Amino acid sequence: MLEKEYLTVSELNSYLYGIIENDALLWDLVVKGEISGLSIHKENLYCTLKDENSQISICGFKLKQKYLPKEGDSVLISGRISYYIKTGKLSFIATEIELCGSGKQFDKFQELKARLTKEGLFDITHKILPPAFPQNIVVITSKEGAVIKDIYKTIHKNNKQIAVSVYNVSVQGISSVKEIVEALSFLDKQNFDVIILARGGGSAEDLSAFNSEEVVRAIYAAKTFVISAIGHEVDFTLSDAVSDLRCLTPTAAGEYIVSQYNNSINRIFSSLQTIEKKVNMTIESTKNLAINCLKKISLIAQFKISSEEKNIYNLRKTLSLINPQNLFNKGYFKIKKGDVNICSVQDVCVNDILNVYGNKGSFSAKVIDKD
Amino acid sequence: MSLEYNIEKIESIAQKIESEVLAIDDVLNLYEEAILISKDCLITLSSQKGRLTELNASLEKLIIEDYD
Repeated sequence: MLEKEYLTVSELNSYLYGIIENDALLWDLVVKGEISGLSIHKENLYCTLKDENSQISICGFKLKQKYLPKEGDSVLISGRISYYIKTGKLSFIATEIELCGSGKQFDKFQELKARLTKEGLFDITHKILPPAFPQNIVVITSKEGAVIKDIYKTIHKNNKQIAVSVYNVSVQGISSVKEIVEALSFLDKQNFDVIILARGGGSAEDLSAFNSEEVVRAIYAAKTFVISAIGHEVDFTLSDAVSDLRCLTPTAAGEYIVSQYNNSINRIFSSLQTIEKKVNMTIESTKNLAINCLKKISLIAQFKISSEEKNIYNLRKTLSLINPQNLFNKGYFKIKKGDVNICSVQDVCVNDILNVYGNKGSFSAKVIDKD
Repeated sequence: MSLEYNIEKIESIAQKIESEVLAIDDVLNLYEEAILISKDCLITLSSQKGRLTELNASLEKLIIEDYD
């Protein structure tokens, strides 16, 4: 088999370098576009110059000029194309920058922001309250990026009960808006507790999908709690404004989920502890009340028994005083004629035989005489 | 009969003997009845005292167990 002919990377890059460096057209150009991703350090400037369809990296070293460009400015940049062999990167080396009006992209963004603000899409009253127990989470992001790994690691380091799914989308590029909108629409109906819309840092162009009207409206329409975690702390997109919660980074989104879950658990345990304490206090006080009542009842019963005892002994004393035996002891006798008690002298006749009962016995007697 | 009823009975017998003119036999009979009833009352009270002692012992046990 014949081997294909090939170039090494170095050979290819050297070739390209030669073409560019030898093309006079590329030595002295003026390019028009919109400033984006601007970074100025001392006298050096770095940015992206873009239009609707394309962009190019700009570097400006030791620029000495009165006009300092701003993000979104439409500018004319004079300079030359440069190709760096080592990285294969093409950039435009600026020698001068002048303003030629505000950029169209920037103006469009400002108009969109104002219009959506007027419609009320960013109103705080529209925000959904977070779920108390976020157990089922889905992250809309690129499955190739570090974002999903960060979120997964942050959540599962602290709480393995929380399920984390990923829905893969392009987070930049032509198809990103459509994919993100479809993802939001689909996942909103899947009963997730939270949808996290996340991507890592990037330039304004990289994050442009999250400033699109379609994505903003899709987030607004979602009934599920949506967290946006887009770019770095300094990046603030319209998606951040419309979502129910903005987290500064994807890691912060993971930390929020865990803290929300743990806080709810802690609140429940705290309430249970309060209830337990209250129940124990109630049981204790009821028990003490019952014991005190029983003690009182015991005292009352004791008093009543003593009182009745005294009463009975007093009655016995009374009875002993009226005991008929006392009369016998004093010398009184009971007299009977047969079965009949004699209560009067008139009840006896002479020669009657009487039975006489007295202290310690009885005797018979005959009536000899009566008055 | 209840303790309270029996005590009332003894009281009424005592009052009857004190206030009415009764034959000696009747007095003796009533007296005997009153004595018998009072004995029953004392037996009942003794039994109740015993029960109260047992209940107090249970209450003490409950309090001690609670503190344990």
